[in-house]
Amino acid sequence: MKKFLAIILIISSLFLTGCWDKIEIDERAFVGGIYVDIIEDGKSKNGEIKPFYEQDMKNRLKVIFTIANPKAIAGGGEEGFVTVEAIADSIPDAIRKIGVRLNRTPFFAHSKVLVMSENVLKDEKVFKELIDYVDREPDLNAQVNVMMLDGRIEELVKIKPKLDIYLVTYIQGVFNNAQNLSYIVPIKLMQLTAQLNAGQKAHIPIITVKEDEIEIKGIALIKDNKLYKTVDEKYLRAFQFLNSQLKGGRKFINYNGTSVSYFIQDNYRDLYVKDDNGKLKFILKAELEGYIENNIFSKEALEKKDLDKMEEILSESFKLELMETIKYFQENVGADYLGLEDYTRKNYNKVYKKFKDNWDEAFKEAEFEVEAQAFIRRIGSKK
Amino acid sequence: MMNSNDKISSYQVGVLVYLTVLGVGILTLPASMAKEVENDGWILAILAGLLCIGLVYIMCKVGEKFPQNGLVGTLKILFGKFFGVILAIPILFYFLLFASLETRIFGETVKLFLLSRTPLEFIMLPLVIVAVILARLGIEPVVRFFEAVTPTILFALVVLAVIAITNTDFSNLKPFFSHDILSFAMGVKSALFAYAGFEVLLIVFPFIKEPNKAFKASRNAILLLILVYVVVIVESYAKFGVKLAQSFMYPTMSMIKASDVPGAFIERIEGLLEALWVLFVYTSIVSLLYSLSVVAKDIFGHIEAKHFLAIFLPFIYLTSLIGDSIIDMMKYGDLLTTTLGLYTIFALPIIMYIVSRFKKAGAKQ
Repeated sequence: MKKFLAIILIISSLFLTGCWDKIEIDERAFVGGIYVDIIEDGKSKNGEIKPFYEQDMKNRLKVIFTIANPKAIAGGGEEGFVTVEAIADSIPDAIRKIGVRLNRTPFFAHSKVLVMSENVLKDEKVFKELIDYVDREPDLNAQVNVMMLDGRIEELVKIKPKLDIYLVTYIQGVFNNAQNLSYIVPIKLMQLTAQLNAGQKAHIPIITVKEDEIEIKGIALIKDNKLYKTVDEKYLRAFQFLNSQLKGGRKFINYNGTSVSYFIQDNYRDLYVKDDNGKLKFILKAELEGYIENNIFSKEALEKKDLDKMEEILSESFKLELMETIKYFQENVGADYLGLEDYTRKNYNKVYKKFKDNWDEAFKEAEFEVEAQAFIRRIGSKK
Repeated sequence: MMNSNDKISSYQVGVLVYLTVLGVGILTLPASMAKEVENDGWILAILAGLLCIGLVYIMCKVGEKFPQNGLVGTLKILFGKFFGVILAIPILFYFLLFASLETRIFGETVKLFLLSRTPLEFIMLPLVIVAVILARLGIEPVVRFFEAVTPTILFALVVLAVIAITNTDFSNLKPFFSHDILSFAMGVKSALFAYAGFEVLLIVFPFIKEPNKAFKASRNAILLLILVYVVVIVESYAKFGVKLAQSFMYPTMSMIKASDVPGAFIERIEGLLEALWVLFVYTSIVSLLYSLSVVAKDIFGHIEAKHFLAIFLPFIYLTSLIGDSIIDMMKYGDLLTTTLGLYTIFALPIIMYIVSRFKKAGAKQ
């Protein structure tokens, strides 16, 4: 009898199971990219309590989602994604509007890019609302690439990538490539929120649309939760080096009339901070390691003195590059985006404490002593 | 009392302490440690752990002196029958509320990350019921279950620690010792409760085969916990920076979410932590409920501990619903640890130790 009862109980448990959260994979719409633009400059007042129906909200934003189309990706179709757009007040509002039109549930766990237009970054309130949403949403991946678009988001989602059928993987691929060559300072959502939490400063890469391609164009600096200034791409290499984020990439020098390409493979930075009678003083020692990629054809082999000469030019030119970038940030930008505050706080806490209330002013007045040394380790498969 | 077979070895004592302490706290640990001392949170974790070892030592000294009396029995010897029971009542509430708190945090977290449409009661009730089923069986089956899951937990902890090490910047921990002693002292007060749970030692003493080896086992368990905590804290600070880690509701979960396996052949690795974490919470609740039943049995002078679990089951569920929102609930949690918690794991063992110096030893085995 007991056995019988036990068997009944075990079998009945099979029928007593339930599931509230079952969503089949084909019921989900995998949102790969989120694109946000401002179309209307509406400031909603906080005032009396109203029923506040959905139509009472301002339609400030244009939100576009690119959703992967698994069938087309598997079948090798022309377009691996579909775009859906909504005019809405916020991203949850856009999800609501899109949700009632779409036969699938938008799912953000595999999102890869978040693109904001210039207007979004200029509007402090919208930017803060957006960042709070992406930070709060538990599904959203912290590894989302954040970028600013100089242009219109409609044009960006119209791009038909050449070697890829999905726009998001195309953008990611461009980013990875450019990152290895130091033409971009990519930033993940996690790093952006870390920067915004730690201080008021952050930076975001800028992209633009050029015909059927995206192009990378410098970085946008954010201060006090809105766009502060944009930095030209010529300062990117030194910017990344000073932030110790440099991955590699080419540096060209003019050697006897030839533009010789020097590929940076490794780089080291030594930074000393001093308090020089109430003024900050930084002593920067830079080292580069790499190989040369081209020179002019000659029957003679390259000799040590040629390399020495090249190294000398490289070192001097990199030193000038660093100094110019520092000067640019001191004078034109007027704020420390070079990671020096963080570095000083971590390694020279005593010096930092003296200047921490007025760091940016101290940075503007600071004195820099730069030394650079480039080493050519390899010269390719020819002597 | 039928406890002839209810004896646990000293290794099992270590496992019991380890898995009881490791519970919901590990998810919020990096943020709670950073409250007072920011980037020195990992040093605070070590200090609090060492303090806990001190408390464990005191508990074991008392336990060795009265190995057969149990917590309430010892209290009765030390303070007289009436006051002994009075002093034991807060402990009863502490175990009850602590188990409820763990249940609620478990429910809220699962609802946030995994089962957003499942009603909260269907997340929490099965967990409590299954915990009660195990806790009813007595100390030996409990620790045997703990022993069985230990390898899985340790293995998964190592895997997660390795995964989380990607994209980290360990310079975020600098500058070391940037805070004064006062803020460390303030911090230790709350950091101590990251290790809350080792007080089950007070309860299990009559069941330990060799009471004089209990200290060594539980000391090793706490040393292992310090290691796990320091790894979690250091990695999350290195990944996020202190400020961002503090802004998260569950920094440890966010840390695993923000880690991608190089090569990206697998995404959303936090599922592993979530699954494993159910085990952490389950073991903690089981051992808290078991302690609750033993204390209740001794207070009410009943013979069987397991009867009390059925009585307390509805209370555990109801008290776990205290606090309207998650912020409210966290506040009540803080209140619990700073009052009843402080009494149970800090004040009472010290008082017991001091008084026991003046009393004759209890019955030997």
